[in-house]
Amino acid sequence: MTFNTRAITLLLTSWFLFSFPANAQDERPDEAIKQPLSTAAWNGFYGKFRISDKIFWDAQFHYRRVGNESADYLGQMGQIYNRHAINYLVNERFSVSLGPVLRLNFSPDPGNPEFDNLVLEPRIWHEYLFAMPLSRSMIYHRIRIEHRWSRSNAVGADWIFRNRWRYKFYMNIPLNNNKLAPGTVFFTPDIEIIMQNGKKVVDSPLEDLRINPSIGYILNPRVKLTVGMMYTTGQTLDAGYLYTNRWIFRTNAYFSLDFRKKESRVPRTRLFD
Amino acid sequence: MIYRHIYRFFLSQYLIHQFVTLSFCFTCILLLSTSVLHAQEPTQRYEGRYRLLDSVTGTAIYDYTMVADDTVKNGNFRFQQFIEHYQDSDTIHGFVLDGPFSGNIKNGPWRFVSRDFTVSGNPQALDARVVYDVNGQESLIKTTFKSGIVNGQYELIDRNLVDSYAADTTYYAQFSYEMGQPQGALRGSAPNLRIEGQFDQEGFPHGDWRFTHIQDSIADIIEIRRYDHGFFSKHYYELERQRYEISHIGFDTLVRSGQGLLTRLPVTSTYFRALEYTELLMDTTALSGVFTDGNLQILLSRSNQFMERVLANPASYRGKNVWQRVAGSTLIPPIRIKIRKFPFSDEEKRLNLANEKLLRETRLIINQFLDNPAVQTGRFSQEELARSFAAFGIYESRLAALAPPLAFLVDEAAEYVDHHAILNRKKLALSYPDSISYEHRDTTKIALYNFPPALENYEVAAINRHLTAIFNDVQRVVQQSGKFVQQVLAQGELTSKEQQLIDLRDSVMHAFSEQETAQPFTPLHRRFSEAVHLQLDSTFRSYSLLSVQDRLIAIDSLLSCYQAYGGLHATLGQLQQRLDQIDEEYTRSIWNAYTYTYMEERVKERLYNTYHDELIPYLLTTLQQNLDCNTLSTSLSRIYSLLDRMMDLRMEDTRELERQLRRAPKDPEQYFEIISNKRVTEG
Repeated sequence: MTFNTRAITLLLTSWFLFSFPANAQDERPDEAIKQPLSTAAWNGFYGKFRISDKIFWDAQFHYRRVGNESADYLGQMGQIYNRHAINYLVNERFSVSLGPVLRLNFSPDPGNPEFDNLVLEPRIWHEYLFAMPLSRSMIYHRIRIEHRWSRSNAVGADWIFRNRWRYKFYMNIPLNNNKLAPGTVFFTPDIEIIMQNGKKVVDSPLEDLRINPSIGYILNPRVKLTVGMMYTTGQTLDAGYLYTNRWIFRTNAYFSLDFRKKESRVPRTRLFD
Repeated sequence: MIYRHIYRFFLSQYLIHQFVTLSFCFTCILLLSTSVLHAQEPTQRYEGRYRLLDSVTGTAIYDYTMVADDTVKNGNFRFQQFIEHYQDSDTIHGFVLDGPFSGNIKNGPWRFVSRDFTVSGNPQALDARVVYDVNGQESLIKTTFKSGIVNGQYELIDRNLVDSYAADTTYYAQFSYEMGQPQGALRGSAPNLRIEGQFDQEGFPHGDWRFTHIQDSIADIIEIRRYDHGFFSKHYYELERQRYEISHIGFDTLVRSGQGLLTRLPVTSTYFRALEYTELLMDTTALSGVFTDGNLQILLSRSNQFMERVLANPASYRGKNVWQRVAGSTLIPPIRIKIRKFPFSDEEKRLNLANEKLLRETRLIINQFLDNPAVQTGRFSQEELARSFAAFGIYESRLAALAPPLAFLVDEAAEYVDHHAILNRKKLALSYPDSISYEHRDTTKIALYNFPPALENYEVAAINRHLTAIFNDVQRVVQQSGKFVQQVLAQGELTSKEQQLIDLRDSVMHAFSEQETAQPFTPLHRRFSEAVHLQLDSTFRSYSLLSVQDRLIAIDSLLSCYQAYGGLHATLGQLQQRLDQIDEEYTRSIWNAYTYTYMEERVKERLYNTYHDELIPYLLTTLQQNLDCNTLSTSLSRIYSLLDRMMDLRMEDTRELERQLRRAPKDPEQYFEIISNKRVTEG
């Protein structure tokens, strides 16, 4: 099945925007409207590189494609995402991160002169991650706050500033082992709610709700891989009654490397390991 | 107007007069009290070494006055004794005893605290002091004395401390004394147990004592012991508000107080031993599926243990009366109960003691005979000894069965239960076979033996006759065996070496028996246990069948062989440690910043897997299959050289060696050669 999702979304959004320009509140429909289903594929590479006992360099890269009339999920470029931070491990159950993001937003309609082909979106983000061990599994609570400056790809669109308030609950549940160890297949129930505020956020505080179950595999103590299908929905910025409706195929690779001098690693390791 | 001035004048004169009068009185009182104080001896403070009445020494601080050249304690007293073992084990133990005196008599709140601590964590600087956290146990006994007599709340507390904080209370009891006599309610708790009880005005337990046994998986079981002014008259358990009676066979719960039949007995361990002797009868249908009789018996024993501590020994800690360690108070007596006594007649007492002594002495002779090295070796060649050995084995098994009832009959607690009823519940059937079988020169033989008639009741005179018959038979056999034993004993030096041999054999067999040994028993010991037993048994049997001349030649090498087996036990214990150590050395723990867990990873995986999966099983199997005195040390040294090599290789670059292992044919000897060959890694 092929969706011409991107085009339909654009048409609908434009229709709502231009049909009720002055008094949208008065003209808002009686019921929430769900946008036509759209698809995307996000491929993430996550790296946490230990540079001292407590400090990690957190580097994340996303290659995101979106479906179009030619192909679901992979049809055209969506975004490229660069996220970096200094991550401070307070203790083995809690860490904080602070850093910049630079997102590259590609045109939703390539070749259309009304859209810029590429728009940059900078952000500052900070994160507070709580890890809770259970007998076999781990539970995580992640609070992430982002301050973003963005504009749509429409030519001449204004920059707007928004804050994002994100809370994510997820777990790692080993399936073929009694702990998270190399060779373990694990299941990750994952749900995240993203709220937003800012001058331009009038009636759409719920930016996104992401339900993202995935299956993962621990290749070795330094590498784990996950694959999953994420469903997301949320209010569109300009029309709070209009809800997004997306299925996103996600693959992620996580690299946890130790860049400290070998002799200072804990527990100690030997020269020729 | 003028009247008002006159009035004010007289009022002011009156007030001045009043002030002067009051000032005078106050000054007089002050002078008087000061002179009285000056008339008394001044209070002094002692601070230094102090010896308690039980000769324990420590340090004390107390206030005293001198009266007629003697010290009279007045004011607070604090004794403490703490012994530190920082150097050896980081432990501290000791106790504190403190409270106020008034004229050498305890008066006011007193406290005894015993502490057994182990230092934990790192030192912390607190101002100019260095402070450590501790783990351990603390026991407290607290009460109040009035003119030397216990009067007021009484508390017993045992608790565990973790990092200097009270982690859990393992024992708690609280009740009250009124001028030396327990009064009112008792409350208490222990892990999974809550207790509520009551004393009557004479200090006897009275009414329903409720023991709530807290269960994790099912409803709590409430045990109720009903006391009728000290007399234990009813016993129930309650589950989901339904009561079920518990009958104690042999414990009289029907006699009512006031009939002159009851003995007033201070509660001691004897009373609780008597309770434990009684058999319990109860309807356990309500407990079926969730609980067995055995479990309920455990719960009742826990209640007994709780009560024994608070009723029998309220002032005792580790066998010492804590309050009597310093003079100044009267003894706190144990709490009393009422009980029906079932006294033995003088003749019964005499026979019970005689039976117990006869049993003990007969078993002693039997065991000395069975353990005698001359008998143990001689029985394989001397038929008479083999026959006696078998007969004594039968006697020993019967006497072992008779020992518990005889121990019961000489126990003082037996007089507080219906001992006849208790014994008659357990059928006695000491019967003997007509013949015995024994082994002689590798063949099994059967011979008639004249054992005494069966003993089928607990009548003390019958037991006495039976034991006397056994004792006489045992003595006769020992005397007759003497000549055979003498033949063996005559071998002089050989005998003493055989004694060593048997001791050594037994100690090695003991060490290789999981149930018997007190030494560490590893999976490797378990693996070699059967093979070692077989080896020791067969070598000893073969040795026993040799002539005296041949035994003289063989014994030294057999002794060193058994010593080697003794060494094998220690070696296997260390080997398990070495295997674990190498496992640890070849394991690396890595923090995963995404899972927030440590993950373990094997290093030098091919080398370790070859060593662990191929070589160690191969070498151990070879050792086990060829367990032999001649090859034992060689086989062990091969294992140890491999372990040493593995420890060395952990620190070396092993890429070339692992490449060779990958290419080598699947042959453990080849692997052993490659790993042992130092030139490989040096090249």
